[in-house]
Amino acid sequence: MSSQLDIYGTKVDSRMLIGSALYPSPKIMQESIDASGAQIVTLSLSRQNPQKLGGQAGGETFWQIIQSLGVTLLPNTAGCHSVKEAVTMAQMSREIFATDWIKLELVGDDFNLQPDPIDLVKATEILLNDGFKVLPYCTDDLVIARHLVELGCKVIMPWGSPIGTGKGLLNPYALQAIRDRFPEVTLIVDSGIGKPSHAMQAMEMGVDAILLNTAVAQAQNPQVMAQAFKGAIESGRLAYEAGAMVERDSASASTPTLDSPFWHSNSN
Amino acid sequence: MKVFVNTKEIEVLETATLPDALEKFCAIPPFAVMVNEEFVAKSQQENFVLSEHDKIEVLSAIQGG
Repeated sequence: MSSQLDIYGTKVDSRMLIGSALYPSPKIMQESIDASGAQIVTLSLSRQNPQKLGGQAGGETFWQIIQSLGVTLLPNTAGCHSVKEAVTMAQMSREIFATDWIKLELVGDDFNLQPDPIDLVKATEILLNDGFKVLPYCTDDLVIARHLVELGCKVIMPWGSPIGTGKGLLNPYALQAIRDRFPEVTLIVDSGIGKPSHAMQAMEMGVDAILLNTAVAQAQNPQVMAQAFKGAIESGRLAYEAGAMVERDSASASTPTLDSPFWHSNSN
Repeated sequence: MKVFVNTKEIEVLETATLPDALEKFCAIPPFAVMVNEEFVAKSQQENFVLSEHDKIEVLSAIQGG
């Protein structure tokens, strides 16, 4: 078994964080989260519609379902476009979910939902000073990561590629640079993961965990895909801890050739 | 006077406090509230006196990634 994931001093076994959105049904969401083994689940806030909430004919509300899973909640600030919006959303999340963890999302451009690096740093500073444990969703820019770390972030969450694209790691070099530059920080690749192989690639590089949603929720069979990601993330971590062989350019026989009966017998 | 809760127009007394408007809106706990884009913590809601055309937002949990 691999070592535990550290989120601001809280240790969890699973290195997979999973979102609660986009599943075909609440039942499939529950089963997928169960199958993933994830202990941390992301969720959000939006305007309440009491008629809709109360009119589900005895059906469980999303809130009741999420509570029944017995997982740790990680609220996000999805949809926020300014420092003020993000800070306000974080404050509301802290009250409603009774957690000081916040997945800080601050959209900089609607075209690819790229995080605004400047406002992200500003909002992070305000929230850290207000006692939050900030998990900022950022690009793979080393300097922005450095600013976040210097402010006091113990976790940073760079993208693999834009949210929901499933393109995997567009810039492995940049992610590796962040990993190598800040070995003490918990590094979580958040967004852009499409296949288990993407997640495994990141984990083999030494990334500490993967946060994903669409890749499971929008799979043909979300429950099975959740299992696939679980296996890939665990294997990737084990591979990182085991230490991969050094790649080389020339071939090298794995079977010993000394005392082979055909040793150089046909060579000219 | 008129106030707005999640963009819905609601009629309340001139002396109304935030819980009055929330009750009229039939808000279902758990929820968090902001008024005119400012967060109003639970502990401050009881004595929060509303003004004409205040914009109240009542938020609750939804799915998120």
